[in-house]
Amino acid sequence: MWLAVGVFMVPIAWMVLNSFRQTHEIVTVSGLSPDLFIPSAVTLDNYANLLNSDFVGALFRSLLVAGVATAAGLAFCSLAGFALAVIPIPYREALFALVVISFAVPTDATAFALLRLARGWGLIDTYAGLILPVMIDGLVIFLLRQSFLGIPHELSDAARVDGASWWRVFLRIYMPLAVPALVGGALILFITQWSAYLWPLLVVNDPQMYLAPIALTQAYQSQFRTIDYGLMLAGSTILTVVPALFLLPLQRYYVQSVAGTAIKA
Amino acid sequence: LAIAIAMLAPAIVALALFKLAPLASALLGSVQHTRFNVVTDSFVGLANYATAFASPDFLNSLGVTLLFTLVVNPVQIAIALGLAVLFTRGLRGSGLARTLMILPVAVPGAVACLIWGLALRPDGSVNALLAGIGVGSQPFLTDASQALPTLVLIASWIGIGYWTVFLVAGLYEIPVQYEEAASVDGAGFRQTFWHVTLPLLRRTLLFVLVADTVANFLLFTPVQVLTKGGPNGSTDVLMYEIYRQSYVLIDPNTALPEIVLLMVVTILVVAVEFRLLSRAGS
Repeated sequence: MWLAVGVFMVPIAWMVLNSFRQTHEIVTVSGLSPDLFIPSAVTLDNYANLLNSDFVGALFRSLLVAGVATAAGLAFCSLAGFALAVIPIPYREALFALVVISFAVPTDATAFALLRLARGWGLIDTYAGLILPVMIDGLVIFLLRQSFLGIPHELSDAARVDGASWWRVFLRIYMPLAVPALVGGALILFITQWSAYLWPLLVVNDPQMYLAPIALTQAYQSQFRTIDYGLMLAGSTILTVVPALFLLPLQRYYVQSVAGTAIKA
Repeated sequence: LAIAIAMLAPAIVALALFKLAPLASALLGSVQHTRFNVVTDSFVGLANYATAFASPDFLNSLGVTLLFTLVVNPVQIAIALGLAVLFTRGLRGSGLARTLMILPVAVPGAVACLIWGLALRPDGSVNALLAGIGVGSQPFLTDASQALPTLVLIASWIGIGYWTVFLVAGLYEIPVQYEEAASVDGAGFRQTFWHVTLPLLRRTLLFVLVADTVANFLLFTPVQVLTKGGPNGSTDVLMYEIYRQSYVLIDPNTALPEIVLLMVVTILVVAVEFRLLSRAGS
C-alpha cells in the first residue's frame, strides 16, 4: 500500500524539493542518487525571483477569479437546488434533468463554440469573461439538491404555515442544515476554477490578464527566453499549496460530496 | 412560482447563454461557408462536414483520440480500483494513505504537465533515474512512438487519485455482511472480489467509467503544454486538432463541424451519466 502511495507522491515531493534548488542544478543531476531529490544547497532564490515577476499579479487574479466564481456559484447553485428540491413547480423533474445535464457537460466541451459568441459580447480579456460562463456547476446543483431533499419537509411546511416566505425558509432552515454539502460544493467549485486551463487560455489574449496556470505554461513554452526551471517549480509549488490548504483539512466534506454524486443520491 | 423562477433565473440564464447559445451557434455556423470572418453562403448543407471528414489531420485526430481513450480508461480504472481495494482492507495507516492519495487532486493540470515535462526531458530526472538502474535514456515525449504512452502515464497520474475517491466510497457502501458471508462459506479473497464485491460495486464503477471517459475525451492541457499534437501528429487528440484549426490555422469551415461533433458526443455521454445517476437515486 505504501509503495503505491509513494509512487503517486514522488512527483509532488520532487517538485517541492527541487523548487528550493539552484536553477542550474535541476536538469543536470545524473545517476541514481539522493541528489535527485535533496538539493545540495537549499535556496529561496526561486521564490524571491517569483515575487519580483509578473507571476504575483497572475496569482492574485487567479485567487480573485476562483474566489468570486466559488462564492457566486455556490449562491446560484444552492438557489437552483433549493427551488428544484423544495418548491412545487410543474415539470420539476424534467427541468432538473435539463439543468444538470447541461451543466454536467464540461466547460471544455463548449469552450470553443462559446468563444465565438464571447467575442461579440465583449467578454475577451475581462473578469466577467473569466467568471460568468463557469460559475454554475451541474454536479454541485445535483449534490445540493440531494442534500435539501434529505431535510424533512415538515420543517418547511411548519414554517410556511407560520407565514414564512420561501426566501426565509431557504436562508433560515435549509442553508444552515446543508452546511456539509455547501462546504463540499465550495471545494469542488474552487478546485475546478483554480485548475481551469482551456477557458482562461481562450478568453484571455492580453498577458496582463493571464491567470496563474496560463502564465506558467506560457513561460514554459516561450521560445525567446531560456526557461527558468527553478522559477517554474516554485510557481508550481505555490499553485499546488493553495488548494491543498483548503482540501486537506476539509477533505471529509470533499469526499462525501464527490462520492455522494456517484453513489448516495 | 414567481419565487421559484427568481431562484432558478441565474442558472437558466447561464444555461441559455453559455450552453445552448454556443451549441446553436456552432450548429448554424457549421452549415455556412465563411471566408475572412464573413459568411459568404448562408447554407451549404453538409459540405463543411464533408471537408472535415476528408481532412487527414481530422481523421488522424479521431484515431489518436480513440486509441488514447481505449488505453487510458481501463488503465486508470484498474489501478484506481486496485488502490481502493487496498485502502479499504483496514490496514494500519490506510486513513493517512487515502489522505495522501487525494493530494494529486489539488495539483492543477497545468502544473502536473510542467512537473512531468521537466522530469521527462531527455536530460531530466527520470532519465537520470533510469541510467542509475542501467536503462538507457528514453526520448519520451519527443518520440512519435513513445509520446502517446507517455501521455497515458501523465493523464493517469493526474486522474487516478480522483477516481480512487469514488471507488473507496463505493466500497464502503457495500455492507460488510456480504463479504463476511462469502468468507464464512469458504470463498477466498479472489473469489469474494470477483463474485461479491465487483457486482455490488457495479453502479459506482459504471459512473466512474462514464465520467472518466468524458474527462479523457476532452484531454487538452498535456497536449497543448507538452507536445503540440506531435511528434508527427502522434498525440493530436480531437481537442487539440480543434484548437489548431480554430486559432492557428483559423479555418472555421473545418473547425465548426469538429466542434459540433465534440459537443454532441460529450452530451450523449453525459446523458448516459445522468441516467446512471437518477437510477442510483431510485
